[in-house]
Amino acid sequence: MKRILSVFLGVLTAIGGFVDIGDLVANALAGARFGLSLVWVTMLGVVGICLFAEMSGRVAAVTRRGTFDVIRERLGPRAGLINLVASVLVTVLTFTAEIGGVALALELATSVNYLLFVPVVGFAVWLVIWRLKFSALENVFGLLGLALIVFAVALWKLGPDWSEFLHSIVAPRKPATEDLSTYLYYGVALFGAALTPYEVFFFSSGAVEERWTAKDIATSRVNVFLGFPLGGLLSVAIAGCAALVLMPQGIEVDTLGQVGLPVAVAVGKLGLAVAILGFVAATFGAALETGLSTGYSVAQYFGWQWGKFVKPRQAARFHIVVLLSLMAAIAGVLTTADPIKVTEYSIVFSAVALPLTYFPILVVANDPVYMGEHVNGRLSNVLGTLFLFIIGIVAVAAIPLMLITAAGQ
Amino acid sequence: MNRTSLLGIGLGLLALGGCVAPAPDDASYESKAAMTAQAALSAARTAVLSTHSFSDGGLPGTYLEPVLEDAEQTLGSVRDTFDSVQPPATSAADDLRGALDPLLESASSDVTDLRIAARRGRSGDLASAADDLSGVADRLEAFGQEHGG
Repeated sequence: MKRILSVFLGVLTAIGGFVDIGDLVANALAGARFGLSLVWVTMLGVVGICLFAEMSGRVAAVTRRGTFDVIRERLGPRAGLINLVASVLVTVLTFTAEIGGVALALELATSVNYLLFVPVVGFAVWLVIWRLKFSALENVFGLLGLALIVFAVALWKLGPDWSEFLHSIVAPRKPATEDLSTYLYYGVALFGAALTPYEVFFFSSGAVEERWTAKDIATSRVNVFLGFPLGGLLSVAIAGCAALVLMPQGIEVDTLGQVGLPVAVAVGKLGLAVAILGFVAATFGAALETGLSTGYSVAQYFGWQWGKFVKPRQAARFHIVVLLSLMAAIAGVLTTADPIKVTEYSIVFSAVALPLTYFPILVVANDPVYMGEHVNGRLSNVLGTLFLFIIGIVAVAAIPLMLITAAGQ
Repeated sequence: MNRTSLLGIGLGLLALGGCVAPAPDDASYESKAAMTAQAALSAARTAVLSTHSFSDGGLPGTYLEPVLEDAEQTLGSVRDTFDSVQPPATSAADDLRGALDPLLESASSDVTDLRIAARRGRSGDLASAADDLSGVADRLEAFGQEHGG
């Protein structure tokens, strides 16, 4: 019974923790501008993140080591360093976007300018990382993130023609008024949002934090293959709400306030309050994950003691890296750069860095020296290779598309 | 004046010229105008939708205010960006600018009225400003459609 409850909790936190500022913005933006014609990209991204999160969780459970530790050993320090630098840059940018997202959500709840919240949010993030146990941190914000289910309720209350709704997803059509390059650019952004690199680092490092062994591989698979797709459905609900309420009005999403408007229209004040709670939980939870991921990657690469399973004094360099990245993120938001624009850039740059994250994971998961009997099967390898091909195309196309479309204008 | 000074002055003039975004022909100016109308329409309709939701009791005042502030900022920046574009020296471009600029000004002013009314808690002023803004939004939409937005 205890095991079933633990699996159930894991699935719920995987659902609630799936959506972050990138998913909120990218899905609402795409829904308002392209209707449901880009939902297929989100679904493809969810398949990809399931595939690689399962691999990285399995690697962590079998080797009991962090991803970067194994990558550096397997691919050598030079390849590992390129991987590290790219991942840390993208993760700190994402961290900045998440901190900005929490502050924007608090502004919507209070009318107080978001910049005033930034130092407070930064301090709260540091305090939680410093003081809270890993399992508590993961479960509390994962469960609170379930508040975003209100978008699914709003979608149901908006009462779309479901057959037409599903048809728009399975037979997508680019709106005639939009260029193909813009359509593809937003496709890249959605793909980057679904497959953000920090998610796999956090997932695999979390496996080590929670002392998973090969016996926990089945639990990990349930979390990934059930929790992530259900979390992906929240992304689809956000896009669906934007497509039904904002698109007919000609509203293009460039603020977090616009993301929540369909919930206000469909469910009212109470629903909106739940949505704001969901925004805060999702972005705060993701801020914790990105902050920790920065520390995990750097400490694992250099072979330092890391993690929350030891006292902060024993992992001092790990905590210093987390603190420095937090200070960089706070400084980034305080430049008054629009957090939504930062989010848009972070997910596109995530797309560029994807091969550097996912290729080494496939290599290690396929290496019998590390994985023994838990090495990748034929299906994982075929799908993994196929996905790496797609990821490669997306990474190469991202920057040219950004330039051609003037970042989706 | 030596060559270096001339080169310096030339580069300075080029840099100053770069401060005003060029619009080489009527077609590209029309395209910029249509994009501007679309961005302004988005901000205006956001303000109208959120005000209606507030009036219907679906949106708290704390949420309405930042949404209106964002819409106001967007409209200001959209207008500034459009006005910084140097139009081509044709009557078509002047007509286009003459048609769009007043719409942008009206939308901006109506959203400011909405923001002031929301802060003062005057629901009557909110409703009338939202109606005015709704009309401007419809005209922005028509402008955008007419000019290929």
